[in-house]
Amino acid sequence: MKPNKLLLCVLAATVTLTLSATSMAEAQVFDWQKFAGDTIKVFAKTPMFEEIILEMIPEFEKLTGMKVEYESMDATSYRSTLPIRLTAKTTDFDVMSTMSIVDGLRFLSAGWYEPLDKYILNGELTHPEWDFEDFPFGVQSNVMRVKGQVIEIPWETQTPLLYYRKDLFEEKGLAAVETFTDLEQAAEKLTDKINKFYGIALRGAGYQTTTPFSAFLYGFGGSWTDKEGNPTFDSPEAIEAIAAYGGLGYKYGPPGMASFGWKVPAQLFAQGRVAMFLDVNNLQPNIVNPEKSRVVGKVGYAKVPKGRAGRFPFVAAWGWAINAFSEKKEQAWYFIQWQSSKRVLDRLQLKGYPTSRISTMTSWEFKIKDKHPDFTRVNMESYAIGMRWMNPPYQAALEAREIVGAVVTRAIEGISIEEIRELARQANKELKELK
Amino acid sequence: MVKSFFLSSRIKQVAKGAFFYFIVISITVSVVAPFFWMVLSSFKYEIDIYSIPPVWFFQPTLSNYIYVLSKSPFLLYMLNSFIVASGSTGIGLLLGLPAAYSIAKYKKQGWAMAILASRIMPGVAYLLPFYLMFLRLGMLGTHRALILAHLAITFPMIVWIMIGFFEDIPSDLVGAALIDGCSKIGAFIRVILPLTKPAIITSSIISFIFSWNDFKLALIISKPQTRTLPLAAYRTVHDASVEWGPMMATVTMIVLPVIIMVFFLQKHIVKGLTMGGIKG
Amino acid sequence: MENVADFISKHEKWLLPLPGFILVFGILSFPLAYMIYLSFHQWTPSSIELPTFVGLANFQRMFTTPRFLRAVSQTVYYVSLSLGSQIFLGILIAGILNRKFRGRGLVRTLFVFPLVSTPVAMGLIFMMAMDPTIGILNYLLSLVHLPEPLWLGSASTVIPSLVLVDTWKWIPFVALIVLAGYSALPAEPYESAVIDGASPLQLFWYLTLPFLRPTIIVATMFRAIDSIKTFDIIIVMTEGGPAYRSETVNIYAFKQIFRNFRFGYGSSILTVVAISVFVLVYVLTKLRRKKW
Repeated sequence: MKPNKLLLCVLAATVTLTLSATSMAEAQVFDWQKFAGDTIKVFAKTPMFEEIILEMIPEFEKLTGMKVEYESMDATSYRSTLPIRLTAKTTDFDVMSTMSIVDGLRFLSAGWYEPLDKYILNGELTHPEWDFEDFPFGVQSNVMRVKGQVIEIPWETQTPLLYYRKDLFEEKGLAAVETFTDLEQAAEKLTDKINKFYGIALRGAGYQTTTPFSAFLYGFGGSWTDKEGNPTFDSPEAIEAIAAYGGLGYKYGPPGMASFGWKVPAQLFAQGRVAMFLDVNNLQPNIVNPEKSRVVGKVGYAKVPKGRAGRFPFVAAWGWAINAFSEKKEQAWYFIQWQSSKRVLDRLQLKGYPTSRISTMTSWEFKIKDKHPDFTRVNMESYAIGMRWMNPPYQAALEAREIVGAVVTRAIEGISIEEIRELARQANKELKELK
Repeated sequence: MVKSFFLSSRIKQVAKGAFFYFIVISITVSVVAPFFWMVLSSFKYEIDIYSIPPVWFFQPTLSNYIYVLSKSPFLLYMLNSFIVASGSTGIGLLLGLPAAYSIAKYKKQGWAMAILASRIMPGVAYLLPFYLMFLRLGMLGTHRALILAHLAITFPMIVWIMIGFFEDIPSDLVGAALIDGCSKIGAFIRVILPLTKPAIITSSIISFIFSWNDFKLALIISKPQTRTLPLAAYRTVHDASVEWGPMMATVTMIVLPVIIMVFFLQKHIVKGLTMGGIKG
Repeated sequence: MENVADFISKHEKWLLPLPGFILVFGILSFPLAYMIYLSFHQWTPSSIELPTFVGLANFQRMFTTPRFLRAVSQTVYYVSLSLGSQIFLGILIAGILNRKFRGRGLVRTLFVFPLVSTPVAMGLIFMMAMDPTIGILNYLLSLVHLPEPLWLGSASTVIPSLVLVDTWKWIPFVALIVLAGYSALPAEPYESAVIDGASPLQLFWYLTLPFLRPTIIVATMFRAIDSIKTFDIIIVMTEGGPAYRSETVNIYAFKQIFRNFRFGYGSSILTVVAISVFVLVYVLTKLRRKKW
C-alpha cells in the first residue's frame, strides 16, 4: 500500500502545482480586487449548512476588498417577503436566493431576475477556473436555466431518493427496492400496525406532495404536460400513479399521513416508526445525526423506484440569483461565483451534503472522507438522469402544485379509483385555466 | 339530630371546597401543562424531547440556551421587542385613555365604531402596502415604523376596553373634584384613573402582549438590526427539520419577561371595589 | 386670550379622541385604499405589468368558486366553535380567579402563558403533540384507553383540533378582560340580595352576569373579529389542509396573494372579509347598548 500512496501524493502535488501555475498566468485578465471598497447585500433563504457561507464570507471580503451584508430567513418567511420587496423594486439587496423550478418562470416573466449568461461568458468578470461545465447537464438545463437563460447558480441541489432501514430489510430477507412493485411488497411485509410501525411514510399535505409524487407520475408513464404544454393530469397513467401513491399511504402509511408536511416522514423515520420514506436528499443530515435520530447506522439509500416507463428523479436546487433592480450586479456576481466555486462547494461536500459539481463529488479528498458512500452514489446517479420537474412547469407553479397535491391528498385518504379519476379530471380542468 | 346536621353541612362545605380546588387544578394544569413541558424540554437534548413515552428523568443540558444566545443576537431582539411593545402600549395609553373617556362621557357611538372598524382589515392586507409606505417614507427598519404599525392594533384595543369602565364612573364624582378646585386634567388624573386602574392595567398588559407577539408586521417592516423576538423563534425552523431544543429555549426566553411582568402587575387587577367574601 | 387648557376642555368632545383617531387612520388609510383599489383590478406583481381594471369580475369569480364557498362555511364553523368555547370557559375561569384562594396570584400569572406564547412556536409544538403516531396527546389517550383521533390528519377532526389550540391560546384573553369587569362590580346590590336570601347561583345569574355584560361583549367582539382573521395557527399547523378542509377565507386570501400571486383576486377576498367583520362589529356594538 505504501508505494501506491506515495505515488498518489506525488501525482496530486504535481497536478496542483500545474493548475495553480496556469491559473496564475491566466488570472491577469480577471481581477478579484476589481470592486474593492464596495458593499454588497445578500438576502438569502437560510441555506443548508449556512455556517459554511458565513465562514467563507471573511475570506471573500479579504480576497476582493468588498464588504458583505448578509441577511437570511427560513423558507416560508422568505417566500412571503421576497415578492413584496421585489414588487417594490427594492435595491435593498443584490444577491438573492431562488429555487428556479418553482419560482423560475414567474420571476423571469416579472422581470425580477438578472440573466447571468453575460457574466459567465465574460473573462473579465469570471475566474477562469470557475468552470460552468463542471455542473452536470441535467443541473444546467433543469436548475440553472429557465427558458434558455442562466438565472440561478445552485447551492443546495435536491433530488429524491428512497431511504430505508437496511437492518430490517436484512432481517426479513428483502432485496433492495428496484421497482414500484418491490416498493409495495416491502411496505406490506414491514408494516406492523399493532406495534405502530409502518412500512412507508410519504408527504401528504397538499402542494408539498408533488415533490415525491413526481417520481411516481413519470415512472408510471404519465407527465405534467404533453408536448404542446397542455396538462395531462387525468391521463390513465397519471391516475395509476395517483392511485399507487395514495394506496401506499392508505394501506401502509402512518395514520394522519394526509397532513404530513415535508419534515414529518423524515422525523418518523428518524424516530424508528417507519421502515422507509421517499423524499429529498437534504433531509439526510438529520437522519444520521445521533443527537436527533435513533436509526443512525441502520439507513440504506436507493434511487427512486423504477416504473414501467423508467426511473425519474427530478433535480432542483436552491441557489443564488441577482436582483434585477440591484445597482451592483457585477459585484453580486463576484459573490455568487465565489460561493459556488470549487473551493467553497468542496467544503459543503465534505460536510456530507451532495453538491452538484462533478469535481467535488468525485474528488479524492471527499471519497476518502465520505461516511456515506452509497448516499453519494445514489445522488450522483440521480443527478445524472434527473431531467424531470417536481411540479407542473407553469408560471403559477405553486398554485398548480396545490391543485395537483389536493388530489393526491384525497387519494391517501383511501378514496376509490373512480373518485380519483373524477378529481383528477376536475384538477386538470383547473390546470388548463392556469395558463 | 343537631350533631348529624352539622356534620352533613360540614361535609358539604369540605366537598364544595375540594370540588372547587379540583376544578381549579384541572383547568390550571391543562392550560399550563404545555408551558411546563416546554420549559422542561428546553433543558433536554433533542432526542429526548420527542420521545414517546415522554422522558421525565433525563440528562439536563444548557446547550440549547448557549446555542440560541450565541448563534443570534437574541438580546438585541429582546431589546427591540421591548422598545416596540412599550412604545406602542405607552402611546396607545396616552392617546387612548382620553379618547375612551371622551367617548364614554359624550356617548359618541359613532367614534367608537369607527375606531373598532380599524380592526376589520386582515393582517395579510397590510403587508404589501405597509412595505411600500414605509419604503417611500424611508422608515423601513426603524423602531418608529413598527411602533406605528402596532399602534393600529393597540389603540383600538385600549379604547374599547376602557370605554365600558369610564362609562361606569358616576359624573358627580368629577363634579365634586372640580368644586374642590381641581382642574379638569387634574380631576382626570387624580380621581378617574385610580378608579379604573384594574382596567388600565389589563388593557396595557394585553396591548403589550399583542405587540410582543406580532410576527407578520415585524417580518415585513424590520431589518436585521431591529428584528423582534417572534422572528427569533422562526430562526429555529429549517428546511429539513425544526430544531426543537433551541426552539423551546427561544420560546421560554420570549415568554419569561412578560410572565414576570404580569406576575408583578396582576395583583392590581382586582383591587379596588372587590367584594371579598361574596360568592359568584 | 383664551387659556389653552380652557380651549381644550371646551372642545374636549372632539379634541380628546382626535389625535389617536388621526394617527390610526393615517396609518391605515393607505392599506385600506390599496386593498380596495386592487379588489377591482387584476394584477400579478411584476416590474413590467400594471394592474388592469376588471370591475366586479373578482367578486363574481369569488362567489362562483366552490372552494371559496367551502371556505366560508368552514370559517363559520371555526369561528362559532371557538367563540362559543372561549367565551364560556373564559367567564368560568374569570369567576374562579376572582375568588380568594391560596396561590391565586401564581395561578393568575401562569394562566397568562397561552396568551403570551409566540403563536408560531405553539403551533409547531401542538402540531408535534398532535401527531397520531409520535405525539404526546395520543400517547396520553392510549394510557387511559380512549380512542385516538387523527387530529390534524383527517378532514373531520382538523377544525376541532385547530379550535382546541385556538381556545387554549385565547381563554386567558377573555378571562383577563372579564376579570377586570369583576373589579368594577358594585357592592350594594349584592349586600341587599344576600340579605334577601339569594343563593350563589341566583347572585351570579341575576346580578353578576348582567353587570359583566358590557365586558363580556367587548371580549366577544375582539375575539369574533380576530377569530375570523386567524392566521398564524392555521398556516403553521395545516396550511389550510388536508385538501382545503381547514381553509378559512383569510387563509384562502393569503394563498391567492402569496402563493398564486393574484393580488387583485386576493385583495377582493380580503375586502369581503373586512366587510363581514364590519357587519359583525356593527351588530355587536348595537347589542352592547341595548338593555335586556
